[in-house]
Amino acid sequence: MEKSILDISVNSLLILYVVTGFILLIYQYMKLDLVKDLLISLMRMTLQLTVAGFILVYIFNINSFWLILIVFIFMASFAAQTILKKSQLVIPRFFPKIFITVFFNGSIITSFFLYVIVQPDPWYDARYFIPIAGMALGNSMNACALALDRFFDSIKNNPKHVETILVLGGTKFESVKSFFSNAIRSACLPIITNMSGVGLVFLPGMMTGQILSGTNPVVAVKYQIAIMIIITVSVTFASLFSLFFAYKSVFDSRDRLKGELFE
Amino acid sequence: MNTLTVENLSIKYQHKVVIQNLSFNFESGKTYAIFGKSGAGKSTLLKALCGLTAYNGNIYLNNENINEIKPQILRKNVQYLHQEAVLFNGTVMDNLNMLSRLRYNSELTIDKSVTLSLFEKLALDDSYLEKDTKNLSGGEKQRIAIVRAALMNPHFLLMDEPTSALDIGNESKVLALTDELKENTGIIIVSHSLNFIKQADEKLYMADGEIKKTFEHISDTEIKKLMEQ
Repeated sequence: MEKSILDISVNSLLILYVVTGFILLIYQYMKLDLVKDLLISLMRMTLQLTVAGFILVYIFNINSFWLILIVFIFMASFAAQTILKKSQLVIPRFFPKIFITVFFNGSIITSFFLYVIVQPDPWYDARYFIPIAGMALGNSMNACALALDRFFDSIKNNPKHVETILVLGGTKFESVKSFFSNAIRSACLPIITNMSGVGLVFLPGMMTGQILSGTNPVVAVKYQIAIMIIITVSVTFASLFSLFFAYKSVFDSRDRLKGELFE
Repeated sequence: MNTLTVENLSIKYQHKVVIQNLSFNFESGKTYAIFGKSGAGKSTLLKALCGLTAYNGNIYLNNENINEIKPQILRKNVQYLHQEAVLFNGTVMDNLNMLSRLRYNSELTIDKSVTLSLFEKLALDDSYLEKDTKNLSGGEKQRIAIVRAALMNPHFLLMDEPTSALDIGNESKVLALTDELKENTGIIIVSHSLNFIKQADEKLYMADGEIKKTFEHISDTEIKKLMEQ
């Protein structure tokens, strides 16, 4: 017997805002310097989610391939921008490369997941495409930022390691290969760790949401397994490609470490 | 004979002139010691010669502009050793074997007897091959890095303070080895060591990014005086 999820009334939501007010008082009393942050974040969250809710209702109703594509392009550009901001890279003309990485990685993986595994009708059904693409993008965004940050940090801290391999006749790639592998490892480790804790330590958001909205837990479990695998694939490819595009930028045309970045 | 010719070399770093209009001709068959106060541009000169630093001017290896030579081929022929030797994780043997695993070194074979003979000359016994690089002292690392560079059979071997972590006994062993290698490999050393400077065939005094003087013979007092200037 499946039950649909109970709605939360606006009044009930307001109670939660009042609860947040108590939290603000605690922050204020303890001088945690978090009052402004929490207020701004609370307002942003309310505004962003409300707007997103209205847009999603509109997109789900129209369910047009082109509209979904436009939304996805918007999501991918935001992800690419966030990656650049988080990893604090000053690489010229890097945005298009990162955008291409997250766009193609996210779209190919989501399309494969929907077309081959879930098979909704139409296969790009917005109700499936947008949340799944969002999960793939969100996770690859964090993974790329982590991978790039780790990779560039390793080179900045060990330029002599890179130069030694170059001097011994190594290529650009050979000289940074070990940092490349370590960066991918750091990017993939969180999702792999998550995989081993899921179901025991925590129930992931998607599964919780599905169960709350009345989905049979067995179906929710199958979705969760599928999505965890998809996220792992997405995280791996996204970090791999972003590093592949990025590593050349630390060298000049004569395969020398760029001085302005690393001295 | 191998030659490494520098013509009007200038290098700027963060708007500061590090090397200024420097010209010189290095040849195999000789050892060169470059000395001078820190900041004189000595290390930068070495890094430019092996293609690790951008520069203005011209550098020729055996009369061929190094910009025309593939970077990997240039560096194989002009080996450079950092002041702090860089060895990678694993054993000493792994560090030597990695040479032939690099794409452009596929024809290079690491002959164990040649390796051991180089080890012996630098007072390292064959048990070092199996030692983990994490457990080596700075001086041991320096000597192994010298062996690794020598195994590449380069036209030139550039060393930045190669004996900074060595005692006098091991320093003279490195000196003897460079003397032996110089027939085929030009040796260019940046050093503060009086022994090294005095025994080099040519001594180049650098200051303000220029080679101010060259000497065939120089006394300890004169070296010290120049270093203090």
